[in-house]
Amino acid sequence: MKFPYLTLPSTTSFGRTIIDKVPILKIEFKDFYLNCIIDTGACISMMPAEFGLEIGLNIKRGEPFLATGVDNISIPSYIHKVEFYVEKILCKIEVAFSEKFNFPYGLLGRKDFFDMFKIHFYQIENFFELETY
Amino acid sequence: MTKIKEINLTELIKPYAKDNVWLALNTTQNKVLATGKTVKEVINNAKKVSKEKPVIMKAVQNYSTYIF
Repeated sequence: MKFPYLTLPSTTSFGRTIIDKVPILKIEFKDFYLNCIIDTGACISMMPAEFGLEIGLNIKRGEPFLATGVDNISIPSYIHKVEFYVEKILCKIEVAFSEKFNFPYGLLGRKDFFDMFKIHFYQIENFFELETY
Repeated sequence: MTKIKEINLTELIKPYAKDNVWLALNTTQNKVLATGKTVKEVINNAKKVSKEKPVIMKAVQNYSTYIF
């Protein structure tokens, strides 16, 4: 399955565009799709807690997890097993939900999701590809 | 090789970026169906105007600042 990179506003306050092509995948829940960046640097997938509530989770009943970012600050999160579809493929992966996770999209990290798909990035050609094992 | 259709959201997002609102886009991601200050609000607002399942993401001014 091939998907285009999304082109997003990416001009810094200094007037420079670092990179405006983002490998974002639209994942399907019952009532909505969520755009998620594919992040090879993240050990686990993460989403804002609000999305967990929307899919019926009691966030704080999940397994506690401290996620640490580039600033070395840990944010409290709770891991849940979550189901969604990519095209017609059912995915069951662990996702850490946090009220402190303020990305503008979800994040698909290596645990579980990268075990389901071989992921090929063709940045210069502006697409990425998921291939099931 | 089949050419993958580009999705450029730059102009679509710009009018909403300074407000940092959640956006509900249509499935092909070329139209904003609704906005909301919360995820719940944007999903509910989208349901009021369309039967399409919305694609949710937040509008921000610069997406390249996000490194985790």
